[in-house]
Amino acid sequence: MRIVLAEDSTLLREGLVMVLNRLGHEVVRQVADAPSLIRTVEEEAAEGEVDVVITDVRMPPTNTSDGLQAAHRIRERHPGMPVLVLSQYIAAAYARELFSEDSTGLGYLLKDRVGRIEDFARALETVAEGGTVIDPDVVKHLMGNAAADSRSSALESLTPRELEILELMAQGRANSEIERELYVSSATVAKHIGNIFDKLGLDPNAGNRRVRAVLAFLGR
Amino acid sequence: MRSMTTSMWRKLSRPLYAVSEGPWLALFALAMQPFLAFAALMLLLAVVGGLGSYSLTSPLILLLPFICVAMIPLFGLWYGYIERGRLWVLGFDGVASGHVRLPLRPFWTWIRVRYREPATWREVLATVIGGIFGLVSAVILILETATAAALAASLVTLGLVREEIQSNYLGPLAPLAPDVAGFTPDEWWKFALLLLLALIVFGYLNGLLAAISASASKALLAPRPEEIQRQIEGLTNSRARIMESFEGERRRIERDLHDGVQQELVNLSLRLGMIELDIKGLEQQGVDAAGAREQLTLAQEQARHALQTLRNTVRGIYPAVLEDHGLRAALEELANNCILPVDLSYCATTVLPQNIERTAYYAANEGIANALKHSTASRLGITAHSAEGTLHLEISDNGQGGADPAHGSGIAGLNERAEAMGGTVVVDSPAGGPTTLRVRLPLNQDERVNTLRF
Repeated sequence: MRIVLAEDSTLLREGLVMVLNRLGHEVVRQVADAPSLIRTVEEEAAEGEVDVVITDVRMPPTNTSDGLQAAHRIRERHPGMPVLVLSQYIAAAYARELFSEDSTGLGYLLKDRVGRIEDFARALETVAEGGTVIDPDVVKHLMGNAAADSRSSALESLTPRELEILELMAQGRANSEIERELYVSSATVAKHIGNIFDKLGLDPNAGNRRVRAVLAFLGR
Repeated sequence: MRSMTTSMWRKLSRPLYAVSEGPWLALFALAMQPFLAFAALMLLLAVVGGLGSYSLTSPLILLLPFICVAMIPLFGLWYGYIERGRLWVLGFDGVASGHVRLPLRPFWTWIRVRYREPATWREVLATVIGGIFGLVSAVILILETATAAALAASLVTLGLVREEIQSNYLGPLAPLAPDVAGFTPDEWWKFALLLLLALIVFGYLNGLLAAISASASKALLAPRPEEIQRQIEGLTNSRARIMESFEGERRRIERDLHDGVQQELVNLSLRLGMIELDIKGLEQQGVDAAGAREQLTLAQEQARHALQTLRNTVRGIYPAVLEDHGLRAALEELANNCILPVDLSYCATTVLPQNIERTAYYAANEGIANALKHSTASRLGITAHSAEGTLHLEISDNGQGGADPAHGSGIAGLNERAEAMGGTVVVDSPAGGPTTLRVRLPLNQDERVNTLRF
């Protein structure tokens, strides 16, 4: 895959390039701030040179959530451009900011995750293929409170098993992977997922229910 | 100590004034005034003498009178300082300074400010009046001493030595009884009575004089309302400045941690990940790398743990989510991150001033930390709502209660913070629970000054 990488820490940027190369990807451009990211993607996309954009959240110029804003700008100009955001923030507000619009081909991964290179590689592929990835720790963080928060009635009505499956779905796992993880049959997984969709009140005709089920966490 | 806080006027009005400590305090205060005047004079002479001896032979001596006049406010300042102590002796305590708080350095700034302050010139006036009172006091004290000494000498002569007094020996009181020629030893009681009477009269006289001079000084030295106001504003500002600088420091530490250690740790875990891939490659070639893999897994776990710990630390120091997404998101994260279930209810104006958000966040943080540390709670609650220009924040738990807010330095710091913004912090923790931390913060910053106005 051809990747545009935005990360302001030189050390980490070089590390990421090393890992991505090792995984057989090509980092076509590296930048260190949000405006150059937007500009670079603009240039490279015109030549069809970008498959995925990987960006940090906190970058110059304001050192707040510039990376997320850049992701929005990029996807405004190039709808569906896969963007994988690397973040140090576990807070739901950042993930929510990213997933506020169309969530296909978007990923939100904690930086800690990058060290688990196989997870990272899988997340990258999922995002590149138009899937949605939310870091399991962020999801767990939300799930923890979802279970505690009596007011989130829709999620409350899920059984522990269903929450578990929803969590795996949030990690971008396919049904077959969930079967293997939980040692259950494909029929059981399908049944649970159907229940989750029903309980969360997701219209089967509106498409991409899987992603929307995951986003139900973030929408709280 | 109680007697010290009763003013001389009150003491004078008491029936047992004559046998209380009042006359002695009055005598002391009165005796002090001439000494003060004398000391001031000596000081002035020393300065003049010092300058004069340097410039005796030069035309600079012509400047001497001007220098002396220019130094008058300094004497006023000095006198004001001493006189406040004398007022305290006389029971007029708590006469605050009307001056602005100011460091002595830079010295010329200090001089400029002091010379312009009305408080300084009131002190100069108090010095002049104090000097006059000092003169009067000196005369009166000398007369009193002479009278008392004469009466006492007569008493001793008649009563103890048993000798006749041939002349009218009444001392300063002699003109009151011109036709009395002498006294016999049997008349000693007259002098005993006179002496007693004189002492009582002097006691009242001294008390009256001391009280009048003290009241005059107090009227001049006490700060004017606008001066009190200015001092309060100064304090409020300096408090706010301290808060500000703390905030800046926290932000800097957070940035350093984020830019430095955090990135390095991520990079470290990246490298560990690369090693993992290498080991996998070796294993595929049939090499036994179980030992290395075990060590690696431990190292990875450690790196992960370090990153998580660091993330928590960084959040405690300066929560980025608060800056980027506001109080609601930050409280939500706090609730999500808590090991106990937290019921969060947020209902506040969307845009809160930044310092209000910060204080509210630290309050919630502190409240939750305390609940986790000290109580047996199984469930926590945070509610935040704004009403009538005030943000109300409540952090409650269902624990055993009985918390002593005076114990925690955290609550004290919080209180300080809230007070600097005109807010309040109340800990309500009856034995048996539940414990509630209530924080009230006015949203309108102008109100802050109003609530502090006397």
